[in-house]
Amino acid sequence: MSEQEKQGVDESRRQLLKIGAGTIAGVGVVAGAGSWIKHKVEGVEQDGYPVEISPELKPKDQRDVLLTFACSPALAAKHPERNLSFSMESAGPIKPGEKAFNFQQHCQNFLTAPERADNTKVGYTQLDYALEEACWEGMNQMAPMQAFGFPNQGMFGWDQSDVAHQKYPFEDSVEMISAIKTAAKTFGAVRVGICRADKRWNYDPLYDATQEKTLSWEEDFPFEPKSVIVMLTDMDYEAMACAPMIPASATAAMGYSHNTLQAGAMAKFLRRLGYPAVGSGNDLGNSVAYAISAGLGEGARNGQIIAPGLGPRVRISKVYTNLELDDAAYDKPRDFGILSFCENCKRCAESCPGKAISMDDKPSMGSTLPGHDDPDYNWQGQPGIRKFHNDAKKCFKFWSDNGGDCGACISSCPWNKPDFWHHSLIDGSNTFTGGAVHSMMKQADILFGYGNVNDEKAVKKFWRSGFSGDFT
Amino acid sequence: MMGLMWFLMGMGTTAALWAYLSLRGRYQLGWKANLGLFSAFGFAWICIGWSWGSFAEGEPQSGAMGLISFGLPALVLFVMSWQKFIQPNKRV
Repeated sequence: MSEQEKQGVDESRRQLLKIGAGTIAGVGVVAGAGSWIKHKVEGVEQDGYPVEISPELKPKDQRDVLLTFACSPALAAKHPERNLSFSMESAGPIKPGEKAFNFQQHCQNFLTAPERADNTKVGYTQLDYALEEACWEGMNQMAPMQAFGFPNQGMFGWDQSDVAHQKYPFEDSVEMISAIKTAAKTFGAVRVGICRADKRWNYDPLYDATQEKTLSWEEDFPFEPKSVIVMLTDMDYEAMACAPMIPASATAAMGYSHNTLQAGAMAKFLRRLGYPAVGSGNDLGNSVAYAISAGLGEGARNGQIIAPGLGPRVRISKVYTNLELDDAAYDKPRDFGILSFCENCKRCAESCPGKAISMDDKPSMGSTLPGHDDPDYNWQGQPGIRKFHNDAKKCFKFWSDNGGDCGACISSCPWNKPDFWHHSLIDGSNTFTGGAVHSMMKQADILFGYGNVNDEKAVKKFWRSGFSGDFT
Repeated sequence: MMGLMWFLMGMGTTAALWAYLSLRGRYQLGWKANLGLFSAFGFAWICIGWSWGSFAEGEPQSGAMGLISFGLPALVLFVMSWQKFIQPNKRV
């Protein structure tokens, strides 16, 4: 081989080496970036509850939960100041000369709204209300008033007489969680997580408004809960896009019917495996806090859970059980970058017709809304958790005025999207970006036409959405 | 509907690769030309996927915005790359 030929071979070898090294480096960079993005998108596991909690945080007394109070004549008599502190006119702390808002009267007004259906008002017609009432029917039959927080109802009853005498011999915690999660899938849940029972998130004392009496975990509840299984059920995107009009209330109602069935069925499943269990919806404890603990999402500005891929368009159910897993088997809270997005977004607060949602830039340990420092006014608040503290009274007043349970904070949220690839791409990118990019994403969401509220076109679109008969 | 989109986009990607190889056989493509063509393809790919998805989910405003936000840059990048970095170069 001549010198010139040798040089040619060496040159080709060098080129090949360069290309090889470049390819390996490229693949390495892409794989590294991919795995980092995957890690962020799937949520970064947290050691404890993901936001600051004051050591003085007390469990919530259920008598201070707005919907419980609004349903209870006895609590109204016990706390007359609550029906004198909230203004009917300005929906804030009452000023001289203003009429006070009576929660029990307005609860009745809210519950009888279908009688005032108006066929000339888009979204509030007999058709819309008929759908809403039909959607509530499942829950009304299975666990009446669980959505209002009434404990020990129907399928969520505390009776444990059907607990199997022999416990099923699970090999280990992995087999246990696999069985529980597979059962949740069978019951129609879209997500499920399991966390330890936490006294901070249980209502204590509990309050049964049907009998007007307090109940204690130690004396009245049938067992000491060790674990809580948390399930999510999703709501219809097109129906929720009608918020605050009645089709949105209908899909929320259907969410309650679904979650009653799911939690009731899960409780029965566990009891037949030999473990005491009680299903729960809005009763027994703070569903959002438990869903966060079970790693299903993050607490958002609107006070709800935002679950990646589903947004806040979900309803939560819980099952309290004395089944216990190994520590490592419990799901952990996860950081998906959602709260950071909420800090820069505020779209729900801007869209809220009741102005009930905080416009603060950062979460705080207590409410910053007008009247927050007056315990007679801010009786329903729960300070001691770093989050966006909203005013449920304003929200409830709008429900009563509206004749349906709104949902504007759900439909306007940029995380509320149907299951299409481009939304997954944006949701994924939002988990690892921040600041100005999040603000830009919010503006882009508006420009691209998402998250409108009070949109009459959405109602027409919703009532056509099932026409094809194929919902796959 | 989305299945059809992915099928057509797969066909489109194959066609784009074939067109690129054919172009490379005829012109000397420098790194600027390659970057321009690759970016134009990326934007076009997102444009079709986004807009098709948006119309399929019943959000025409998002579909139209997708055409403007991703389709227009794809077109501009392709024309610029062609005029500035590809056409002036010698044929192989």
